[in-house]
This record gives sequence, structure tokens and C-alpha cells, in this order.
Amino acid sequence: MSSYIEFKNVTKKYKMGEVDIEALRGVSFAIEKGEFVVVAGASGAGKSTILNILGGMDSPTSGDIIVEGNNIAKYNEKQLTTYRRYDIGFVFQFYNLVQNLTALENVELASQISKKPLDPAETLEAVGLADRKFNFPAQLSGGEQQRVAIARALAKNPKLLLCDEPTGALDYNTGKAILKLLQDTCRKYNMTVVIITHNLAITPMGDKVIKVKNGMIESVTINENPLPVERIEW
Amino acid sequence: MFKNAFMKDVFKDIVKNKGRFISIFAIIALGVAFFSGIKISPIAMKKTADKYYDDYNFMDITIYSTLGLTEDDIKEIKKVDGVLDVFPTYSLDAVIKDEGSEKVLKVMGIPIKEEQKVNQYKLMEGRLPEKEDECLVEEGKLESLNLEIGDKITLYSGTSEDLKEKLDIVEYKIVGKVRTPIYLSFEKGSSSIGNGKISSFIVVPQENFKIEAFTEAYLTIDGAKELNSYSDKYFDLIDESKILLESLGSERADIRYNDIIAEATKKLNEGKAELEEQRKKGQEELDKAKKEIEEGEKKLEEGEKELNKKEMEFKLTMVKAENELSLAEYKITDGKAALEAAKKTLETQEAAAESSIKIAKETLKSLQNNRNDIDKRIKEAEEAINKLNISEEEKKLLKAQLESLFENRAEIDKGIAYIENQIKTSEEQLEAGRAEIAKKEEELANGEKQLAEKKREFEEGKQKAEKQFKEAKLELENRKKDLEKGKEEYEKGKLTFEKEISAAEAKIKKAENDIKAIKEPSWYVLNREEGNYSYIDYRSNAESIDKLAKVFPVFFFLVAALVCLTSMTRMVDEQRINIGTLKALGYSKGKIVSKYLIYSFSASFLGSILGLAIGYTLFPTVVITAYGIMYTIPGVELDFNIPLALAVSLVAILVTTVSSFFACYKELMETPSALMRPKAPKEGKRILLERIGFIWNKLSFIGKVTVRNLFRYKKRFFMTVFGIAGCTALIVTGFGIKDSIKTIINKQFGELFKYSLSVSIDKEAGDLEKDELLSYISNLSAVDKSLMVLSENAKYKAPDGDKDITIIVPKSQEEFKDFVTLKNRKTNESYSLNNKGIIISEKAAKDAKVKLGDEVKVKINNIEASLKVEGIAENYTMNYIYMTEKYYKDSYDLNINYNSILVNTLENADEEEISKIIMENSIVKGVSFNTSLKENFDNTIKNLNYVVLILIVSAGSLAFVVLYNLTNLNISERMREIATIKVLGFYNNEVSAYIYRENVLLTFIGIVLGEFLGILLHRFIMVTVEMDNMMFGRNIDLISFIISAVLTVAFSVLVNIVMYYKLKKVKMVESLKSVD
Repeated sequence: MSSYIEFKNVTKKYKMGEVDIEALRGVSFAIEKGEFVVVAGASGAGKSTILNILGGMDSPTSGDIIVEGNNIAKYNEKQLTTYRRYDIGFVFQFYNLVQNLTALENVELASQISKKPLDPAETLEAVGLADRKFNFPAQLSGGEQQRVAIARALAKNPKLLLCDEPTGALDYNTGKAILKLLQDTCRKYNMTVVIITHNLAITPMGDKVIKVKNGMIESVTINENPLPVERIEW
Repeated sequence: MFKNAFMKDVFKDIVKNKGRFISIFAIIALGVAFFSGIKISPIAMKKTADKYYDDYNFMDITIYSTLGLTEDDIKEIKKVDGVLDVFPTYSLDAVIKDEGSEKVLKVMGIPIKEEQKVNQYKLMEGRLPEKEDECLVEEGKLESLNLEIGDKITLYSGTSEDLKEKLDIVEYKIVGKVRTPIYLSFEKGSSSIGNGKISSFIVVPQENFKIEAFTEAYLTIDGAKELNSYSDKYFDLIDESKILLESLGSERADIRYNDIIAEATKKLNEGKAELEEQRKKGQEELDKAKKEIEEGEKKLEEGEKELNKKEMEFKLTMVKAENELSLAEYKITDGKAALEAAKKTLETQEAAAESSIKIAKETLKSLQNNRNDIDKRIKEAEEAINKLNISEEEKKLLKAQLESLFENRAEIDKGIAYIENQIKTSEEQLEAGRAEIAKKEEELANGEKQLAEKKREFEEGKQKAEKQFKEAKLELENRKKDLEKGKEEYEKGKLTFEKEISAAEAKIKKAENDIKAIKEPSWYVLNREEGNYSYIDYRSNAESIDKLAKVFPVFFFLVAALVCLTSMTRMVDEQRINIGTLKALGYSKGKIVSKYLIYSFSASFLGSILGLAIGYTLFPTVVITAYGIMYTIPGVELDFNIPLALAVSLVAILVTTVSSFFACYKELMETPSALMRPKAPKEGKRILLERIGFIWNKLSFIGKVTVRNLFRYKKRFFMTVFGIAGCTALIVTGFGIKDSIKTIINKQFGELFKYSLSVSIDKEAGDLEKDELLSYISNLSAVDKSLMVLSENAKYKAPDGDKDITIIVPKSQEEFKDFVTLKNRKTNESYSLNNKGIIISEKAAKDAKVKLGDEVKVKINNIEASLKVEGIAENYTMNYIYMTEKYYKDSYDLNINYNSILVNTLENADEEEISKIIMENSIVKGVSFNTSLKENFDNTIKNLNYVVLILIVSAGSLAFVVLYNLTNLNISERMREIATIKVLGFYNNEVSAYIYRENVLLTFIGIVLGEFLGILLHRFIMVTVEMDNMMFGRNIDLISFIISAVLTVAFSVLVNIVMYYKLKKVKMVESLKSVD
């Protein structure tokens, strides 16, 4: 059975001046639809690179990436943009909301360009920010901002929700709440969610755990019974 | 060590942020280039001219004497302190025939026997003359003749004089082409021969001039060459010698004066004597002729008298004869009447007689019948008697019967005889009567015949006599006519004689007046700015560029300052963390600031250098080359004025570094830890527009973002708007300058001055001659109308001194409007001259600070009068006062001596031809065309095209740099935002549009503001650059505004295109990097 997402021997090399950096040295793994995947590894291991490539923000040096039957490794810039537009929702560590737009407008920014978006207001409600719709990001706390970011990603109704250290800038409790939201979203909408973290403690919550080390896949573990995040302490 | 790493940091910064460095560098370079370029161009222009002057020993001083300079004068001049070289020479105007048309040349001299030390000619082709029949001609661009080296050229005097009286040789061979520093510009002045305008010059060997005294002397002054001829020091040096020469001049003047007066008086007396002779002779002849005429008249009179007398006699005779004839006729008529009467009587008698005769005849007949009867009876009776068988009784009876019958018969016979007698008598009478009448008729007929005869004779005689009289009268008439003609001719002759005498007398009087008026000759000792038109012309052009330098650079520097400020602020923002780190490491504030100061210092320093390099070389070269079209300046002399360079660079560097300092200052005040945290992004805020629900809701989502962004970054908003506005304003100004100057040409020489020629005439000439000239001109086929006017130079009082103005007094007020339109520019009200005041041109009114109803003081030859302003007329070139004869006389108590004629020619009139014809009249001193004035302006406009081009290019560069910079800033500041939306899946053009919308709006606002700023800037420049005797139009054509907007848009589009590629390259991954 071919998987929803497949990385096949993907390499990524950067040229920084005279220095060649091999971010990925032949990465292969598979992800199924509706899986909650945790990608873990030390700093500089290459996790972000995998996410960036998966999210269509970067192209591999070699190898194939099959997403729902399409090889996005061969995509040109325009195709990648289209891919990102309709198929990907991204959540950043530092939220990256547009400061000049309200929460609702930030979500609208994304929903406006999607094919079959969800209603922005409803999405905000779904993340629990119904009464913060008209506030600017500066008027929101970190967790609220991240939730807006998630709502923005969700509103696009993407195939894939990618999160790069979503809780990195948040405190323990808020972080947990966010993770819960992500987990619930994954279950409820059967959306494939991939999270990057360097916090190994949360790996039990994932359906699949991909450990990355030095640009290569160290291990791919499948959790038969992933834990709900409330039960994890660290 | 720490310095090294520190400096490395600075260098790395420069290399990494090339864009920012280059934009500061570029705008400083631009500003410095522009400012230094504009400031140095006039200096370079002057330097270039000065070098030319120095290379060819251009005169420092020209000396003219109103009566010429003698050899002795020259000797004395040479002795004056400070005088280096003296070149006395001659010049005159001559005419050549060039391809059918006549051109006026200034003939200048070159000594071939010695070296010419002053005003040397620059040989462009060929060689200098060596023989006395060789000459040099002008090598120039516009007005040069189509002659080549080796061609022959013949000079004519252009008047009735023979040129050979002034010049030994008049036919020359061209051996070289030259330029001279005397004529920098192509304007060579006017002449009193030919068509009145000097087209070019020719240089002939000086030895050929046969003129008694030198017409001018050119001097150079010791030490002057080393000085710049446009500087005050130079003029001070020259003045020293000038004063000495002037006092020498008054000495020499006396001597010359006396010589000349003696000479002139001698000639005058000779002339007077001759005039007397001529007059006497002429008068004699006239008298003779008169006498002849008088005699002729007398004879005629007598002849007439005779004729009249004879006519009278004749008439009398005629009358008499007529009377007789009448009488005769009467008689005949009478006779006829009598005859008729007689005839009638006769007729009646005849009739009566006839009837009596008839009756008688009838009676006779009956009598005869009776007789016959009786005869018959007698016969019967006789027969009867004779018969035998009758009784006696019967016989007796019958015998008685017979007796009675015989009685009857005798009675009847008696009766018959009586009647026959009667008849005979009557018939005889009748005959007699008839014969009488016939006789009478015959008599009458004769009489009539005679009368007719007599009448005929009479008529014949009358006719003949009358014919004779007619002939005689006719002849008399003819003789009379002849006499009349003779009289007429005499009168004409007399008139001509009188006119000639009057003209000659006027001339003599004039000569007398002239001699009286010969003031002591003055020497005109003129320095370069007094004596050389092109020197002044060139200088004023240079100086008007200088005036421009007051405005633009300030503008540029303002923009430069803003750009620096924002760039450096941005840079400091980006480097917050670095700064914080450095601070935490213990680097002092001063050290940290110095990094940015070094950065901006190096950018501005390098920018200044480049700016100076361009400004000092490119600008002057372009400007001088542009003006080169109007002037014959060889080569471009660049000036590397150090003080200016230092000053400009200093300002530029200061502006930049001070801005940087201010940018840094705020940041540096923060604590290191605060610095190391990312800066809180500027808060989003609700803007005013959001409260206006119905507009806000209509905006699209992206529209809302755009509008919010605009108001969020206020500094950027204002900067962009002003940058764009500046760009538009510059372009509007550039085109506006062109439009305004174009207006002058079209309006002044077409709408306001309708006349095409102005003829200046000798104001001392007699009124008769002037009127004759006027009607002569009016009758030329190519002339539509002409009008006599007085054109007089005057000075009017203005708050900052007396200024020149021309007073125009037309001979006829109604006709004047066909020649000059007087109307107010702002209200369009048209004026006509009245006797209550003057109409004054707008610029003069402004300078004198007078309005309608005010009085302005105007001086003619030191006679001052206060004139009331009745109207302020639209006018662009020179300044004029218009008034009526009466007002002039009332105000100045001076007589009017008309000295000009304005001429309207028909379209397609050949002006050269007309002016040549007009110049043939002796009292005409010169003819000037408005078309050639128009041409001069057209040339100025062509030069302005360069100015406009420069403005547009600088405007464009300004716009480009500002926009580029700001857009750059915009992108840098919103890197994350841009990266985010890229991640969200915005296509490249959507990303660009996200940024562009703001630019578009800002550009639009900037353009609108710029159009208004442009109007203001334009007005300011027009007023500043205007010279005293010129008013530029104040209008800007609509098309200029449109072009400005379009060009500005084009520039910003250019920027956006460049930006597009930059946006494309924004790497999402890098931009969104976590602070990890």
C-alpha cells in the first residue's frame, strides 16, 4: 500500500560560501493519512529541513517526495506555491502573524486564497478565541497568538498541517494546551499533522515518531497507543 | 585586535547590505553632483570664456571717440600707466551679395605689416592674409556665408557712396576662416545699411582703410590677463587705467574738437555759399518761367477779349439780320395771307362767277334753245307762210307771229348777246382775277424763293461764323489748357524747388545745429562689460544658471537627509541584537555609534567624491556644450574649485552622519537586554477610516491591509509622498519653464506686437519728408498698414533704483490698436489710450510697485514727470509706457519728433526685400524685424530643452532612488510578513501586489501633491530667473501636467519591476528563522 506521504532518499545540500553543508543525507520515511507524527532530534539535526521540504518551502537536492501520489521534488516554483496554497497549513514557532491585521483578518488572509476554506470566524471559535476576533496580535498573549496561527492554518482546510516547534515560545501549560488542540484537530478532522520538536518527552503522543540525527533518519517508531497529551508530564 | 574585528564588522556590514549602502551613496552622489554641478557650471563657463579671451589677447578696454582717434591720440594712449598694448583700427559696415540676397558685413582690420597684439583672431582654416587683396571670413555655425577658401568676395557700400572712398580695395580673395572673441554670440548688432542687421564679419588688411581717423582702439592692460575677467579684482584693475584714459580723453577731446569744428565750419560755409548760388539760379529760372507764364496769360486774356468782342459784334449783326429776315418773313406771311384772302375772294368770286356763268350759260343755253326754238318756229312759221294754202289771216297771224318771233329772236339775241357778253366779261374778269392771283403768286413765290435764299445764305453765314468762333474758342481753350499745364508744371517745379531748397536749408540748418551740437567729443572708454555685447550676454546666461542653484540642491539635500535617516534607522533596528551584544560585551556607546557613523561617513564620503566628479565634469560640459549652440566658445574649461567642493562634501557628510547619529541614539539608550530581545513590532491600530463604516466595509480585504499599512508607517508615508511629489514637481517645473518661455514668443510677437517691422527714422528730418516716407511705405504692395510713432528711452523710478523703459507715443490712437494690443493679462480687459494717463507694461508696474490709479515718476533726459497709471498691459519683453500726444505734451512740455514707423506686412512678405527698399530712403536709419527677435527666442528655447532634460533626468533619478530605497525599507521591515504570506501560498505576483498597492496609492497622492508643488516651484523659478526687462509667462500647459504624471508613474513602475525580482528572491526559510 502506498503511503500518503513518502520521502525517498532525500538529500539536501547548502552552499554557504565555500562550505558545503549537508543538511539531509538520504532521508526516507513514510507517513499515513490522519497520522499524528512527531519529528524529534537535536538542534541542527535536520528536522526543520525535512519540514520545510515537506511544506514546499524548499526543494531537495536529490530524492523524491511523494505526497498523495504527486512527486513534489520535481515541482517548479509555481507548482510549489500552488502546493503550499491548497495542500499545506504551516504553524511557526514565532507565530508570524501580520501585526496590522486583527485575529480574524489574519485567518481571513489564509482563507481567502484557499479552494475550500473553512469559515474563519468558526475556526477561531474552534480554537477558543471567539471573543478575541477583533484584537490585534499585539493585544494577544503568546498562546492566543499561536492559536490564531493554528486557526489560520486550519482555515485553509489543508491536507497536511505542519508545525515547527509550535510550543517553543510558550510556557508549559500553554504549550500543552496547544498540543492538545493539535491532537484533537488531528483526530477530529482526520488531518495529517506533523510536529517538530526537540522535546523528546512528548513523543508518546504521536502515532509515529521519527527521530532524526545528523541529517539521517535514526529511527521511525509507531506508537500503537498514543497518549493524550494531558497525561504527559515534563 | 578588537579594533580589527570591529572594523571587519563595519566592512562586512557594508558588503552585506550593499543595497542600503548604495542607496545612501547614490543619493548623496546625486545631490552633491547636482549642487556642485550647478554651482560650478557658471564658474566653468566664465573660466572657459576667460581662457578664450586670454588666449587671443581680447581687449580689456575699447576706446571710441565720437570724432575718431588720431595718430597723436594713439601715441598719448600708449603712454598711459598700465596700458600694455594698443591696437588702433578701423571698422565699417559693408554689403555683399550672397546668392542673390544682400548681407551686411562688419569689416574689421588686421595689420599685415606688423603683428596684431590685441583681439587676435583664432585661425580655424587656411592662413592669415599676406597680400593686400586677401581677407578672412567668419567660421561659424549659424550665420556664416557660404564661402570657401579661394573664393572671391566683393564689398559694396550699401549706400549711394562708393565704397572705394573708404576702402582702397573692395574685391578680396578669401585665404582663411577665423573666429574672434569679440563675437561670442551670434548677435552682431545692427547697421544703418542693407537690411539693418549685421550677418557676419570679414577681416581685411588694415592698410586698405582710407578713413581719416581710427574708428576705435583696443587695449590690453598690464596684469589683467592673470585675473579672471568676470571677477571684481579684474574690474578694479581695469578701472585704474580706465580713469586715467578718461581724463586723457577729455584733454584730447578739446584738441580734436577745435580741429573738427574749424573743418566743419569751413565746409558748412562752402555749402552755404553753394546753396545760395543754387538758390539764386533756381529762383531766376523760376522767375523767368513765371514771367513767361504771365505774358502768356496776358496774351490769352487779350485774345479772349478780342474773341468776345467779335462774338458780340457777330451776334449783333446776326440779330439784326435775323430781324430783317423776320420782317421779310412777316411780310411774306402777310402777303401770303393777303393772297389767300384774295384767293378766297377769288374763289368765292370764281364760284359766284362760275355759278353766274353757269347760270348765264344755262340761261344762254335755254336762250339758245329758245332761239333754236324760235328759229324753228320761225322756220315753221316761214314755212308755214310760204305755204300756199294758207289764208291771209293766217298769213297775218303767221307774220305777226313771225314778227313776234323775230322780236323774240331779237330779244333773245339781245339777251344772248348780253349774256354772252356778261359771260365774256365775267370770264375775262375771272381771267384777270386769276391772272392777278397768278401774278401775285408768282411774286410771292419769288419773294419766298428770295427769302429762302436769303435765309440759306444767312444760315450758311451764321454757321460758318459760328464754326469759326468755335474753332477760335477751341484754340483759345487749348491754349488755356496749355497755359494751365504750364502753370501746373511751374507750380510743381516751384514746389520741388522749394522742397529741395527747404530740405537743403533744413540740412544746412541741421548741419549748423549739428556743428553747434557737436559737443566736445567724448572718448568712450569701455571695459568688457560696457563695450562688448556677447560678454554681457554670456555672463547673464551663466548667472541665471547660478540662480537655479539656490533652489534645487536644497531640495535634494532634504531628501537625502530623509533617506539617510530612514536607512540608518532600519539598519540600527536590524542590528539591535548586535548592538545589545556589543553593549553587553562592554563596548561604550561612543564606540557603537562610531560604527554607524563610519558606515554613513564612508557612504557619504564616497558619494561626495563621485558626486563632485560628475558635477565638476559632466554638468559644466553639458551646459557649455548646450550653450555652444549659441556661442562660439572653443573647448570647455573645467574648474575644480576646492572651496566649493569642500563645502558641498562637508554638508553632505554632515547631513548623513548626523542623521545616522539620531537614528542610533534612541536605540542606544535602551538597555542591552532589551536590545537583545526582538523589537516589539509596531502595533496595529485602528485607523480613522475604519470608523467610517460604509467606506470601510466596501474595501476589499487587501484594500484594508493596504490602507492600514499606509497609516501605520507614517514616516515612510511622508517620505514616499514627498519623494514622488518632488519628482513630479521637478518635471512639471521643467516643462513649465519651456511653456512659459514659449508663451513669450507666441504672445509677444503675434498677439501683443502685431507689427512685423519697426523702421527708425531720423527725428530731425522735416515733417514733409516723414509724411512722404510714411505714405511711401503704406503704398508698398507687401505692406498692409503703417503708423508713425515716437519711441523714446526713459527711466522710471522703482524702489530699488531707476530702471530703463521705452515710451511709445503713436501718431494716431485709433490706428494704434492694429499694431499693439494693450490688454490686462489677468482680467483680459482691453485698453485704449486716453489723455488722462499712461498704460504701463506689467513687469515695470510690478517693479515700480504701482497699480491702477497710482502715479509713477518717469524721466526723459532728466526731465521728470509723474504719470498716472490708467492701465497695466500684458507684456513680456522689455518694458513700455504708452501714451497719447496730448498727454506727452502736457506732462513734459516737449515737442514730439516722431522717429519710428511701425509696419504691418502682409503674410508671405519678403522682409529682406522690404527692408532694403525702405532703407533706400535717406531719412531711414534702420529697420528691425520682429521675426529675428522671435528667432533669438526660439534659440533660447532650444537651449532650454537641455535644461528640461537635465531636470527630468534628475527628477527621475531622484524618484528612482527614493522609491527604491523606501521600497527596500518596506520589504526589509516586513520580511517576516512577506515570507509568511509566501508560505501561506501567495503567488509571486500576489506578493508583489501586496506591497505595490501601497506604492501605487502613495505614488498617486505624491503626484497630486507634486503637481501643486510644481506650480509653486515653477513660479518661484520664473520670478528668480527673470531678468529686469523680461517677464516670463506664468502658465503651464495642461499637457505638461499630464506628461509629468505619466513620467512619474513610469519611474515608479521601473522601481516596482526591480522590486519584483527582489521579492521573488525572499527566502521563506531564512526570513522565518527562529531566534534559535
